[in-house]
Amino acid sequence: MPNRFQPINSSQSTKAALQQINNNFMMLDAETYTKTTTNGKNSQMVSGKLPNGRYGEVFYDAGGMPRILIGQAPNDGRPGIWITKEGFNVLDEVN
Amino acid sequence: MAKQNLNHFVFNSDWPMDKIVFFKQTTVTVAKGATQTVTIPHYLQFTPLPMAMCANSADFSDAKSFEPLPYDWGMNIVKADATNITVQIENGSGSTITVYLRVYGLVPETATQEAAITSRQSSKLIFDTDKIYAPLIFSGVITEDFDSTKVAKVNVSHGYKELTATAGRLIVEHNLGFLPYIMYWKEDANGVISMTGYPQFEPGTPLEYISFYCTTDEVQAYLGYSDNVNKWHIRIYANA
Repeated sequence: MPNRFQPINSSQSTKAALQQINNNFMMLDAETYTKTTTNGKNSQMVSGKLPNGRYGEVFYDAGGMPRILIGQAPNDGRPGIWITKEGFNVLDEVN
Repeated sequence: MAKQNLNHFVFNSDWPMDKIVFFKQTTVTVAKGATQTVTIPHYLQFTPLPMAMCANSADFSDAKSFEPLPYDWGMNIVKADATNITVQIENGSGSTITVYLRVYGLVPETATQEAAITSRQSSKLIFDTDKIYAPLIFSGVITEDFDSTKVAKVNVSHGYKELTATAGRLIVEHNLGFLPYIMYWKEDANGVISMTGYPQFEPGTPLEYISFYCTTDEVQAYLGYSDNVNKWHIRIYANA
């Protein structure tokens, strides 16, 4: 989980440190379902469980638009590959 | 499958695409006023649906497609038989020209045999998402019937369909919301498949006739009257 790890400060209280540790592990645990790769600012790709509940991989263009979906269609889960033209969100266009 | 706007996609695996099983690029010199025939063996186990483009520039920036009656110069025959793809170039311009030619073969609906990979690619990429891969929504082989009240009808709103029928009129309901792209070839009694265009009425030439009526919801093909056409291969693509 690059760019999201929160280091524990040595001056933190034990309670705050434990909370920090749990938060870090929660993020790590979430990666079991959804792996999001960012460039430090925006998502570049998402792999695993998608926001619509289906599974697949989504790739974004430089403008932050999801353009490629490899995985399950939102409507019925059929597997496929869909690539949209510039300006169209592939997660909205496939159903 | 729910409705999708297919014109928003570069590639959509819910729909098939045409498969190019033959490709060849060549160059030919045609003297002014001359007609040159280029015959290229395709080595396929079936007769492909032929396509071709020609250009004066090596980069094909001024490419032309098939023209039954070229005004200046162009390809007026593009056909395939069991052995060859044949292109005839007519040069009606005032000078000798160098013609750059690209010839393609597509898989017909009736083919069941395997085909080797294309002998040569137009680039190093077989799949390149910088290009648009138009979904094929309908593919049909219609044997002509003189009776236009004999209608073959198919609905492709929810998925690709193939149709083999005998009819005087074909109706393909697509409900795309935009006008699709159509390609068609004639197949004569000898199994020769040709690109074709408007009717040819010159004495001694066979009369061929097909016409299309397209709306944003459906395509109608009137197969009309022909002297020697046995079948029409008709393909409809969802790309405006």
